[in-house]
Amino acid sequence: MTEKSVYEPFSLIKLSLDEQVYIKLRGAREMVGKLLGYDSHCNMVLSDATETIFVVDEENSEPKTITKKSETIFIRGDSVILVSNAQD
Amino acid sequence: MSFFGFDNKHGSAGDGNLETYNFEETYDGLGEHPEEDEDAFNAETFGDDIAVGKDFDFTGGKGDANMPKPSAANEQHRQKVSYAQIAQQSTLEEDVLQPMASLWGSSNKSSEQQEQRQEQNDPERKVLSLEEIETQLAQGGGSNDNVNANAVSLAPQAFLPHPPPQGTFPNFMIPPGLSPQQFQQFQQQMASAAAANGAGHFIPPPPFMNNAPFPYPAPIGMAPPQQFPPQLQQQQQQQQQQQQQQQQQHVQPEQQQPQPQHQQQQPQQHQQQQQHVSTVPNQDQQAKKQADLAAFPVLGSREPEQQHQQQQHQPQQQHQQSNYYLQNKQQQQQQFRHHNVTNNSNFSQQQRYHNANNHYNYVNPLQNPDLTPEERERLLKRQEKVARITKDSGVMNPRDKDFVTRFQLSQIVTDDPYNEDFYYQVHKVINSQGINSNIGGMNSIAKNYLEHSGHRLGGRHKRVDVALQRMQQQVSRAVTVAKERGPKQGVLTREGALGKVSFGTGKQPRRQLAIKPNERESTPDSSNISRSGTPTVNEADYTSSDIVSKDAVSSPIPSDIKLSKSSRKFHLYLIEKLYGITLTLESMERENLPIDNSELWATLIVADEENQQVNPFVAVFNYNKGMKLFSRLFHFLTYEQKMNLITVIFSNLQNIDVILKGSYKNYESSIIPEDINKKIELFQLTVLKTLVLFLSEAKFQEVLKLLIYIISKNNLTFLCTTKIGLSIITISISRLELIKQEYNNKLSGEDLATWSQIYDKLFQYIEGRLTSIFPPSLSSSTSNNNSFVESSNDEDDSYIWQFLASLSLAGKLNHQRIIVDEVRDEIFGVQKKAKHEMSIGNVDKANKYIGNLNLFLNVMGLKANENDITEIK
Amino acid sequence: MLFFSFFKTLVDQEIRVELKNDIEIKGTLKSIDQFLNLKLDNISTVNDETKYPHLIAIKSLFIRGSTIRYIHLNPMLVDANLLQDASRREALANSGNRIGR
Repeated sequence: MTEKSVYEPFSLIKLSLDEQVYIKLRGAREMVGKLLGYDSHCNMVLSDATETIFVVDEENSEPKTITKKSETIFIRGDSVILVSNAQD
Repeated sequence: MSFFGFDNKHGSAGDGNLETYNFEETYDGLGEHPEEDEDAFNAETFGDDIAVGKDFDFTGGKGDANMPKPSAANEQHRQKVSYAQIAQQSTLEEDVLQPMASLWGSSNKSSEQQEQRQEQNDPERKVLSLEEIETQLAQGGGSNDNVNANAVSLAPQAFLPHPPPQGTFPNFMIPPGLSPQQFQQFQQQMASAAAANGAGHFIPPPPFMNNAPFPYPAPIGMAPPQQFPPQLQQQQQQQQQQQQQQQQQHVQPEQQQPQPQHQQQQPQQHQQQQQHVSTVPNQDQQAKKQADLAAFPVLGSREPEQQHQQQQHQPQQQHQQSNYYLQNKQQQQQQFRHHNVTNNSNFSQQQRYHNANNHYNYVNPLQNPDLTPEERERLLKRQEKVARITKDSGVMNPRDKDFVTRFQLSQIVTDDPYNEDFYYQVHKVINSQGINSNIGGMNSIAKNYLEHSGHRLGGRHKRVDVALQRMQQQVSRAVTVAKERGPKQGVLTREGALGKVSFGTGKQPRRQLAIKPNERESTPDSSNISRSGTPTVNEADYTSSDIVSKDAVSSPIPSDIKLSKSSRKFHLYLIEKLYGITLTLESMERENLPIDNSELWATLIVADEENQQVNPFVAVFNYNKGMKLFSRLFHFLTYEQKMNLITVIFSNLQNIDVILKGSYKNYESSIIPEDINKKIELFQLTVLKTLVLFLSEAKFQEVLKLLIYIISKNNLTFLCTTKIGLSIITISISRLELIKQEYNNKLSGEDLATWSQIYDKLFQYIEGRLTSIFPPSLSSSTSNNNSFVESSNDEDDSYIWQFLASLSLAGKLNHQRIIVDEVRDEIFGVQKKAKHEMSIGNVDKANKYIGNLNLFLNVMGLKANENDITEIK
Repeated sequence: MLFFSFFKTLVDQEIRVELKNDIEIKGTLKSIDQFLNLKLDNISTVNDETKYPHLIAIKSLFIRGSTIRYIHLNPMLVDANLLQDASRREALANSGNRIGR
């Protein structure tokens, strides 16, 4: 059962449970936080998460970032692009 | 089987396979824009209480195989018996509501054939013009088949929920000046008139027929009866449905009484009523309707049929369906409804209109001239309210409701709440302190369901009980159904030419990403080939000696993956594997199944002695989740295994993260970073707690053995500069000393000698370095009066004094003297700090300092306060 | 079903929902289904009210799950360890199912 499970992409997410993860999201967003839970839809709950939004202002074309902090956040899986262990 | 000489792959009526008839091809998209207002026969066709929409189930939920074949008996009916009998016949055969079944399946197979031909745009057939049809119809019942073909094409059309596009029945032309809907209505009218006529009750065409603005010849009503049984059967089924409904809920009690009389009215009566409509206040919609209908003057043509129908039914019902007959009242009501919908498919509207109408004609108290305005007002209000309440009642019959409820329940019911609703169930238990011990009980599910479905549980008590009881029955039935269905399949995926199609279920909504399980494992030769896509790990850690391959016996590592045992990924993998095993064991324990921990033990690789590197298990403690896991995992080990495991841990103490990084000596500032401190705290709460619990039960020799491991395998001096290291030594010593004092006589002299020998060795190691166990942040001796204020954080120094206490407890007087000598400065420092805290009013803090100090001093019979040290009396 | 189960424990608690169109709505979670559709009561928009004036008058609403980007939760109401265990259980069950247990 578990012999196989490490092959599956989701098992890589499983390894990151209770660890810091980096998540790339749709809409030029990134999130870093501790992974508390996930499911097969890539829905996730993170704690102590920091979200970074990349914004390009049309006038001065100067890319800037907005950061937001959240103590506990649920992320709907359909905006997730990639999940990675933040320390790797 | 090509029963009728054409390709039956679309599902011919001949073999009774209704399901495969592809309705979508023809009518797809029509449901998007339902214009049911215009479809006067809608309710009659489908029943008033069946939701009509794009996805209407034309088989009435039964679908295939259940369709009665057009048997010889049916043929007979077709020839001799009236359509009513045919309708009844099939109603008896079909105990399940199949509103459309009769339409396609049971009535007349030649008509089916024709129908099919038309669907397939048979070139021969489709050129029939309206005139031709009319001509054929006008020829009367002589050439049945031919006429059937056309007449029946009328009938099904009338049953369509929505007006069909013109192209579908190319043999029909819509007369000029008529919208398709109007045309359809007209067809329906024609059909009903024909039905009435064919059964022998010739009704002269209503006078307006001749004046009709469109060229419909009167003889159209001469069509033979066999063409219309579907319609009647509809009515029959509808009636049955009505009965069920009536038995369980009385929706429109008032309406029933005037009904019989109403039915006896002459055709003109109906027109009269129509006129009343426009006089009834508040019905502007009705007025509009009226206008529509006026433009299409076939009013009243239903009336004779109604009566005729009733007469026709009675005798047959007596022997065919007696209970139905007994329910005459309901039947009449049905007739009434039926009558209604002839002119207006908007049933609720119609109801209201009839409410008003009936009252007007027969019982309407509003018409009572004796009524005071208030009473009138009140009655009006009441009527409005009743109309509002009954507006949508009867949309579903009890069977529908049962079905929906069961379906909804099957989504939320589970007989395995721990697996499917784990978080919620456990969370509830944790947070309610086990008030609801009956996890996932039917009762709670039923109650929850009712609450969520908006049922007023706080309402009348009787009702609540009944509803709850009913719901509990439903729940248990749903559970049974779910069990019968067998193991769940999860999300189905089908691979087609254009990619994967995945389906969701209620339990597992469709995933955006459906990942196929990897099947590489199944290939036999997989041992030594490193495949692409294998997770690669830190190449730096990668030495040939510690690469784990499949050949390593009982390795928990999957074959293809070569992970260095010191790699982070390996540790994480190990932890997750241990979690998996532990969770499985936990659920086995909960279900009182025999527990086999061999896999757990194998995965721990504690016995992996030949490995000179750090035992991988110890690395588990590098991770928070590893620490949290420890106590849960420890629980499933045998005493011997526990002992083994602790031996491994104690031999590797200095390699554990919290000790390795937990010494102030590692840091230039002598301050341990915050994240390490957090880990240390967690370790204390999880691993250390478990160890203490275990050691407090352990035997003298065992603890002694463990202490030897600590001393011989670790750098004791370093260990003593860490909180965890010091705590573990403290625990061991104090446990040994406790046993020694309690069971002194039971211990062998040899053991005691070993103990004192070990103690001496231990003391030797730390003698002269005792001050180093005080981290500078806690130390009070080096600080002058000013600096200790700033360094005095909230750190707890009790573990140090506890260590000193146990050390002096186990030692002899000379040991104690050495200890006191070495830490004298610290003792005075603490007193000084306490005094300072006292002076600034922090009594609590001062007491804490003194209290911790006294942990140590009390052992030697001394007692301190912030000013001096005295002997305990 | 994990997060359905999870959110059921948050019923009657206040949550803050961030939608994919950047509207943020605070409200009391009244109901949740397996598609993570939500019903919120006593709602208020977090971001500028003048930006979404049509929400001012609304007290309770239904949110289709697929329009949600984030849901901000009160950490006190989340049992982190339990949630991790539940995730592991679900992963186990899934891989077990796929192998054909």
